Amino acid sequence: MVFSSLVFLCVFFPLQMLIYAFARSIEAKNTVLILFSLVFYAWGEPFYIVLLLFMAFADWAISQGIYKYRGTGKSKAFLVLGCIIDLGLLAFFKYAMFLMQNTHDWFGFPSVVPQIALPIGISFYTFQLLSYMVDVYRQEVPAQPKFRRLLLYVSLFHQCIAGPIVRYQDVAEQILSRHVDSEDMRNGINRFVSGLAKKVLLANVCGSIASRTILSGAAGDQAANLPTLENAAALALWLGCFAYALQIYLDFSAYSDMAIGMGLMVGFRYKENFNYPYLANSITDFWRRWHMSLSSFFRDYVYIPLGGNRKGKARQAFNLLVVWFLTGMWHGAGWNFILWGLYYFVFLALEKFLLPCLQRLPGFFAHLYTLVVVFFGWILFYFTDFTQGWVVLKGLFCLNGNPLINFESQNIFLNYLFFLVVAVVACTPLPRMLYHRLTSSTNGAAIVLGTVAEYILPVAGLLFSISYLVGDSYNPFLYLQF
Amino acid sequence: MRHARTYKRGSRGKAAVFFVVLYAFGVFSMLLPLRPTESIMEKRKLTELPVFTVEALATGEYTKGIDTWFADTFPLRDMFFQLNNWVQSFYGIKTVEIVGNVQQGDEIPDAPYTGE
Repeated sequence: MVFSSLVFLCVFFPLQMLIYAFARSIEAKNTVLILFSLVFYAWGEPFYIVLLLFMAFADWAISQGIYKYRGTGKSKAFLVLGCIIDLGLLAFFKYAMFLMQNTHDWFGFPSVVPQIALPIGISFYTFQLLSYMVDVYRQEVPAQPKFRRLLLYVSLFHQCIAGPIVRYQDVAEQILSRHVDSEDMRNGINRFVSGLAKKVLLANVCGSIASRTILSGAAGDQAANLPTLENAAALALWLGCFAYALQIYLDFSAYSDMAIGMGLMVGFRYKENFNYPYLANSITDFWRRWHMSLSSFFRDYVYIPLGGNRKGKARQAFNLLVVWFLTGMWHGAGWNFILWGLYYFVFLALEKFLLPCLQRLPGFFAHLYTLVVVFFGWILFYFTDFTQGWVVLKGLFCLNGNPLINFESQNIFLNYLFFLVVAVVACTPLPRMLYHRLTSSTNGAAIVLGTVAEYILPVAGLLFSISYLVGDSYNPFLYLQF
Repeated sequence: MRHARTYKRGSRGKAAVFFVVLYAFGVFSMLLPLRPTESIMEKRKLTELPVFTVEALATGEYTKGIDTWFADTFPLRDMFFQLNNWVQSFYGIKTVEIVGNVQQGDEIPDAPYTGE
């Protein structure tokens, strides 16, 4: 199930909130959340719910050993066992097929590559469990004595399948005791509806522009797509790549907004996952603003344990290389994702070691440089098939013998002109600033307008989102595949 | 300050309005007799409720089928469809609307075909 489905919006979520409201004790509230979370997960993955339960149980049992023997070698042995189980399962389900496909292509072995379905959200909940076990090992948190409480942390439907990657230590106390006042509820509703509208009304439309202009990008569609991409006007390709850059931010940040909003409605306070990344003034800054929960995971559990910047520049560069190789791998089992991670390693290394002046460019040029790097990075990310990616890259500069502009591309551009302006504005803090200005004004007319907006906007967001979902079938969630 | 107080005081009412609408949608969507079986605007038969089998449940096809049926046969579907079309009319300047892919057409001959 996804948050932007009508079954979720009209049945699952209202029912969960209703039953949760009637649960009196914290244990009862937690039980309601666990049951609904398991149904939520099983709705999309009836079989792999077993895997989620197994990993949660294994890590809960192992964490008891880590905690019991804390400070001794046995504790480390338990941690290693937990990491082998978690990373082994992640490697099997996410990377085994990719590995076998490559050995098949290079050496002809195995003769037939078995198909292994990727369990939804495995990258997210595996990282949550790993962070929990490492934190217990580091004695930053005690092991959770009750399995059901750890299961709640891992399976909670707000963040289980598409993040943010919540640390156990951030919610450990809230699992035991939490409070929601009317202001939390109102803030949660606003955040949830703004995320829903961002996803449904903006990201989905950006996605449909991208899939219409730069097609699917998948290797399996190469034969069908190549002639169209080779002949496409440069304007259409620029539009498609631009729409995809908007889609990936709006889609993923919308999911985080909805998770944070639903968390607030039941007393969980999750950390922010995005901070207007397209306003960044360097690539270093971009990664401080994009998917912050993943960046901080790699910083705290890979980069710093490897030595961070404490062991000289050469070692720091190696540590960065490892982190960005893993970041690429985490996003998908494909060479394009690995290259995408290494692409960012190159720019981060340039900014840190060779050309630190890139981080001190004057305002406009700093933004321009960042946006250009990020834009071309998304092309690498989008096309799992390099041939199609290369054709599009050349086509952007009319190097395929393709026209700069044609009737079709001109029409698509005009048809979506105002929409694209709105989508760009939605990537900036302007809507939030406008809303705060309106709702905090002391001017008589503005108070009335602000109050009306506070009542109307969440309801309007819900109504328009539902009308879109009824009338349109294009509703993917990009980060579900990770 | 005055507004901040009003704002905080009104939080409960604002949350209540949202939940009333959310539950209204929930109840409304469950009114099975209101669910259409065909779309007049799109001139097509709408998705039917999937048949339950253990195999379909285990593979996720059954729940996927419910998702599709639930969205496709939503009560007052055509009205929501129109509302969505109205929103889309503000996306940009629509001089010509292209549906599907544009392909190279056959060449128009300069003169009638004579068989040569």
